[in-house]
Amino acid sequence: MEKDKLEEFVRSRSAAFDTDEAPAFAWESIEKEIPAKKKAANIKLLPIIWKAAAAVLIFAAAWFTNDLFDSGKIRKSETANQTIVQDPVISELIDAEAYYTSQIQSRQQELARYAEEHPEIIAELKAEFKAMDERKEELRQDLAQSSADEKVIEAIILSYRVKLEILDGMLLEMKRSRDAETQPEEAEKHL
Amino acid sequence: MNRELHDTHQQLVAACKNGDRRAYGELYNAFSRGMYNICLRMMGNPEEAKDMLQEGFVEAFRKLGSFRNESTFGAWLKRIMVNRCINELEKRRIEWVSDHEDYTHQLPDTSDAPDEEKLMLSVERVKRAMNELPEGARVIFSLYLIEGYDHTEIADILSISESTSKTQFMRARQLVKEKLLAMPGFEC
Repeated sequence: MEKDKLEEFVRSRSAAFDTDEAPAFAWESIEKEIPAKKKAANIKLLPIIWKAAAAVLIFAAAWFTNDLFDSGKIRKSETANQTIVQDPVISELIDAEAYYTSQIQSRQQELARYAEEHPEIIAELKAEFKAMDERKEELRQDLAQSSADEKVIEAIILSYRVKLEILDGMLLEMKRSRDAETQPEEAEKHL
Repeated sequence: MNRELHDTHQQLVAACKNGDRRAYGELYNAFSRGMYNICLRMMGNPEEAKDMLQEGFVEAFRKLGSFRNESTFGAWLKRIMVNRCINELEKRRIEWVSDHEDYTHQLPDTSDAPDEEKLMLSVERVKRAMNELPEGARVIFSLYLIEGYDHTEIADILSISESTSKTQFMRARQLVKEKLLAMPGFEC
């Protein structure tokens, strides 16, 4: 079958049909919409990590102060330690620990959803929490050897509150980061 | 496209994915002219073509993460531009298929076909004839002959059947010939 001359002509010269220049200034509005680099989340999370470091310092200071106090005291006997369990302050600590532990677990479960997107931050957080738990364990041992020292108890509760605060801060930042990433896609649907 | 150019585009796409803003500008410079001309052929006027060009590039840059080098970047970008234009044209309720007439009955057989020697073919004359076509005919003519899509692809793009795409193209081609024959003499 004989080829159509018009078809043949256009096909063989298709590039020659691109005669017009793209309008000047078209780029300016495109440039404004270029997606931002997705490292914003790391930058925003840095203050939280610093806060964690600061919390560890405060925590360590509380422990150290308590240690100084203890050095001037006569250690209580084993019998005295058995009475600690009945101490109302210790009962309050047990209640507080149960409350904060459940709150922290709930935040950690929520945070696990972001673990895949920010593995490095989650790993850093785990390391911070591990260090805090080690300090807390030392305090707990200290508590077992002494009377229900309020400063030690305060330091233990403080460690839970700091953890909770860090987790809340991270969740907020990660939600913001995810929203910032999804907003352009949402906007795109309406273009 | 030569291999070297293809590799350059791939490197630019990779740089964009790493957040290199300069690379976005270079990709735009490499493709803006071609994409603008596609939009111009589809939309038929410079103002709307510019809007489609801008929207198409913004969409492509946002979706860059999903580009996996399964086709060339140019082909991927072209498809985004074409789809953008089609969506915009469909808002105007453009009819890809003419219901008003069964054009297949009017297609001339070979003996009635215009004398192709009298068409006095030139790029400028064909462009002018295309600009005089109804929108649906102009789009199908462009998609098939200039953008290089086959009828299966056009059927997919326009959500019509392949046979409709063929019929509508023949109608558009015939109209271009008639416009060319009606045009005054050779100018280029």
